[in-house]
Amino acid sequence: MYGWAGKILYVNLTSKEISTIPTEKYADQYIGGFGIGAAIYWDLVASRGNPQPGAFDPSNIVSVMAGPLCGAGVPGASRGDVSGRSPQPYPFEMFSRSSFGGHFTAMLKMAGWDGVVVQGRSEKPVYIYIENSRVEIRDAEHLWGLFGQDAQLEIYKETVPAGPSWKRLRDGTETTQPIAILAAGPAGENLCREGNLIHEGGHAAGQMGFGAVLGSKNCKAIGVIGTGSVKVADPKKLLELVHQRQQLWFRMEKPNGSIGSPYGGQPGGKEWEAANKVRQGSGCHACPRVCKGAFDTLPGQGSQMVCMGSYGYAKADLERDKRERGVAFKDARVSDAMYYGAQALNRYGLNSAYWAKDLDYNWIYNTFYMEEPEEFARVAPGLDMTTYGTKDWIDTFLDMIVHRKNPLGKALAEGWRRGLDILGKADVLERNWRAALPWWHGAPHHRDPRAQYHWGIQTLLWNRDHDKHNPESLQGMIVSFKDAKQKRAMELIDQLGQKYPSTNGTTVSMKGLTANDENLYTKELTSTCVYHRHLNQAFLECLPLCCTLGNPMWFSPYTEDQLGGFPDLEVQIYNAVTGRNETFADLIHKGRRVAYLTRAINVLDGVHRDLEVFSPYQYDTRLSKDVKVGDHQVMGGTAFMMVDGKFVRTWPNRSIDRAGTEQVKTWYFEMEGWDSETGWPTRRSLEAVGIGDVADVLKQAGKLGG
Amino acid sequence: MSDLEEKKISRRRFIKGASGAVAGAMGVTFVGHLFGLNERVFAFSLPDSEGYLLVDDSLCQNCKKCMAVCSLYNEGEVNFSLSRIQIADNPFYIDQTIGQCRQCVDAPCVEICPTKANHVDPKVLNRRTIDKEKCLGCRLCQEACPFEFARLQYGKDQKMRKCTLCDGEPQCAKNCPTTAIRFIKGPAPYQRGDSGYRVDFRSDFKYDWARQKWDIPGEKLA
Repeated sequence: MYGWAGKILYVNLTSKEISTIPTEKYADQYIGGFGIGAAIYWDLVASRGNPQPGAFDPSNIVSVMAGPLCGAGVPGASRGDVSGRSPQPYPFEMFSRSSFGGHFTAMLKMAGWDGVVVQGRSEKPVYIYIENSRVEIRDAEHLWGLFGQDAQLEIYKETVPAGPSWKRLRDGTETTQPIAILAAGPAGENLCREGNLIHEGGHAAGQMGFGAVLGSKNCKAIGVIGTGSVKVADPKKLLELVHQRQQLWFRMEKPNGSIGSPYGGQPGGKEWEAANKVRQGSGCHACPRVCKGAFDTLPGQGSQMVCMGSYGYAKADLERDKRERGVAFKDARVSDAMYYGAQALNRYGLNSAYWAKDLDYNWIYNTFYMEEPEEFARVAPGLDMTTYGTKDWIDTFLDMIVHRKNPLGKALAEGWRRGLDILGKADVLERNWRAALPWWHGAPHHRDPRAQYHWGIQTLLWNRDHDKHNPESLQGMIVSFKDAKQKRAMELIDQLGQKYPSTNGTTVSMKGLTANDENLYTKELTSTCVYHRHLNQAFLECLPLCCTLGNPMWFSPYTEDQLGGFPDLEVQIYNAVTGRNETFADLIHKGRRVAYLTRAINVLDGVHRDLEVFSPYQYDTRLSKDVKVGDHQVMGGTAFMMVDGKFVRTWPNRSIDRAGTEQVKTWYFEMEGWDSETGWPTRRSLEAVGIGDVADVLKQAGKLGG
Repeated sequence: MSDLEEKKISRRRFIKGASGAVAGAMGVTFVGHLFGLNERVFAFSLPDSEGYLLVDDSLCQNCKKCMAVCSLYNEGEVNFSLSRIQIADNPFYIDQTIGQCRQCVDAPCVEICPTKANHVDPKVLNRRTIDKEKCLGCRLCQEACPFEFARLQYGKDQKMRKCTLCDGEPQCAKNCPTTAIRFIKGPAPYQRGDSGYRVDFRSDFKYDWARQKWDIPGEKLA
């Protein structure tokens, strides 16, 4: 079985059972990554029907899955996918997923495993240690309470030390590599609903609270070291394709490889590095993108950060400078406290996606503390706001949440959406145009649906922040072309859409990608959203290809015909690795299958069309670039629109139309073959993707679409 | 030692060359062979490699693509333990070391090999490489390698591996997304210490703050 180790590790922490699941049972139908995670969740948990177990119930699972391309040296194709029932969605828990970069899945494959599934609950704290075929459940009492990073360093000490030397494993094989570890932080241990899983200094499976799920199982970490091989079907062809793919987007002359600049969108350069204590880029397996910078902020802690992590505390850091130097906010400058703040989130193990928007420290300080000081003092006694923006403050503040030290901490430990309810502040979602929870299920703001309506719809009808920069990256590529080249790119998109549709007939088109006001509530736009659901499942979450790298790369700035090789090149890579002979249609059909299975599981969780609405402020307030709070505009507040015959990225000034969105939902469900009254999959639609047995369970639960 | 001096021929090579000439004149080589000594003692008989891998650790972003493509090319599968180039790191200290084979002028691994499995290959750039058929798996070469961690790899088949320069087009240098590894053909780098092999490639790049772009000579953007 090329591309795969052939077996998935199953560990039951209640019974201490360690067994294997054959990968081939799932790989053909579900590609890999999230697809296999969803299928295993269906088999082990969801297929039992209602009631579904709670996220912290021992019968829930956490699975960490690799895809077929992981560890094969393919650029941007080694993310690990974590799935299981998540404690984060609101108002009820749902099956969901998260993913993380780094070297974990590559190492897992080299150890001879394609994934790890953890079920049950240990009586005492433990961690799982995998050394090639040897699997141990080890005592973790001494690791409990440590930051995820410190726990990893401790595990290094008691297993295989990291550093430049050859280390001999117990089976006689040798390696120079460090163990790859995925660990829960204090937030996960204490069941904070936004508790993340951390790998190395800053590769986080941040969203959806799987750190808390692992913590609920009394499992601190999963560590793996391997000295085996990832076997591929056609190594020569693969080498050729991998080089070709890198050349289409990443020219070798570029220092640190990144698009534009290194370090996650930061300017970079020696001068900048010195000022910001950057050491160097820190990339995932075989990836040229280096979206993470490695900072000297916390020596010995890795300090790998990406834009989203450092963005949030930057505003607090500016407030600190404003206070300390007595300057206007616009003249304030950041210090390394912003990086410290980002790393603090990673250390305590909280999902940084909730702390990079406006409903974050900024709201705590500028709205809650400033406007209601007495109420604030009641819920957060002892929190010294005169040190807001410093390194000490962030440590005190996060400690307060993670250990539920006061009413504010207790509320936020339940996540932002539930926290607002507990604090009695949920009305912020009705009146504040900058509120940062645009969707019913409490997913964090990432792109504003009023601007990026595609992102809005894709997240609205999913169980979490859609968080795939697609079709955004495609729209961005078209914007990057000028004049005649842009015109040609727009024509090409319509041609490519015709050539590569999904198997339910949906496709991408230029009209569907254009977010002008009159174009928002159209069948073309809906079709583009449905299509990208299938495409993203197959290529970005199952293979998996990282969207931060720019995937899928429809275009390239370096080729004569402007084409970037997608999807033929990716399909060829998949075939060269696995030895299969599949087509784009085969893969996207499997992506569609994963999407339908996930929808079915979420329907069992409680999803219904009537629930799937935007937060009130999205309908009732207008997005505006003119109003500024804290001197920065809404993140992701720009839309891709046609202006004067050119496709540009610009600020729209609009709100979302309720009736229009309801119409889009109806079209969406009709295109998928689901029941448009309820949004539930029908038997026919499930049979169309070859999972008719799922319909039986839905029927039994009274939730099969008619 | 000043830069000027560093560029000069190394002292050891000078002595080796000079003593070689003297030894030749005195017929010691012949005598040596009579007493069972061979070129391991008189290393001057190794011709220099014609290609070298130079690295800049500060450009390395620890993606380990070099390791993946190296083992893909040389082993036909991705295996970090068998990659001829090793990125050894502790990810918490961001201090990765690029461990490439230096194709040493006086290659101790070649010199010590009892079966001449580790040899100079004149067909490909005089590379120092291992003939697996002759390898006993004694690991003397690995022990002889003087660097921080040995640049030779021991496989489950009990054979040693070593850099092959990928038959003239090293995949690590070809695929490194940050050009932290570069392949040069030409005279041997300065042999003592790291300065000849660990170099500063970053100075090649200038960041244009006004344009917020890298100023890269010859770059063609659409």
